[in-house]
Amino acid sequence: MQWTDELIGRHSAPRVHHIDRCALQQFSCAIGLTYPPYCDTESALQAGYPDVIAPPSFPFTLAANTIPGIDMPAAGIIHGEQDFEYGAPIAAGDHISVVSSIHALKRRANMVFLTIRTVGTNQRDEEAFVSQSLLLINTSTQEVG
Amino acid sequence: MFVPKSLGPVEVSVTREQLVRYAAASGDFNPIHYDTLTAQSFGLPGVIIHGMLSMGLWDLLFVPFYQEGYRITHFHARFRQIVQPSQLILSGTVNSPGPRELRVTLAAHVKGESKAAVTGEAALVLTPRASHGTATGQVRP
Repeated sequence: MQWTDELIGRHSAPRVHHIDRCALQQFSCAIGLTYPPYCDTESALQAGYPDVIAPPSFPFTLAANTIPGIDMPAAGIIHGEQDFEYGAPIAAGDHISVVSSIHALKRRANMVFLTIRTVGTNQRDEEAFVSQSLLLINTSTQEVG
Repeated sequence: MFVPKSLGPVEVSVTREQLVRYAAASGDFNPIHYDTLTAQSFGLPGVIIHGMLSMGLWDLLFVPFYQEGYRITHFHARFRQIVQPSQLILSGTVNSPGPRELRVTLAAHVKGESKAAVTGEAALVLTPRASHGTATGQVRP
């Protein structure tokens, strides 16, 4: 695929994720996290949350729909940097709508530096997070493949 | 609250079993994180840790702040080197630019190596409990 500046600003259709309590618990447990409101409903309520909450790296798992015109290679993508800004906490029972867009695109030799920005909005129309992922794509291996 | 100048070091053992569990929990089933032959076919020395797993582990350092009412507002990671299953050393240094705000500089080292494999930053803000407030937005029948 041709990585041109025209792709900047393109975005996906919204995709809604229902945040499941067990999925949150399994995610925190898989990392080995220890803050009780991630796994224990009672602790979450005591801390002022409506149910167990998502840890800070969780929003990355909320995949967006594909961005029209973007054909990501199946392999050879390096995740260079990751950034999150947080708004409303994500709790079990929330419905989070995610939209991804091409925020920046730079080319250097065979490499494409792609910044994908994903915004998550909850069922109360509050922004829950803004994620920015810097992906490094080696286009020379793509041509071979 | 007494704000420490440094966080950690916390040593975490990341095993291949944990990579499989993280793959399932995160939905990232890229085989370079659990299948040695696939990883080697991409020129890697063996399976490597998900970058997002190493980033997520830093949360262990923030727990004392969460318990004092701080909330994370910003989190950033730079994945500098591939990391194989190993003992990871997590650490941070804390700056306090304002009375209710903390800035943490983060590092994750493979045990025994001097250069950090992952570096990052986080910002935490002291939040009055009432403004956690998502409970108030719930409509109960």
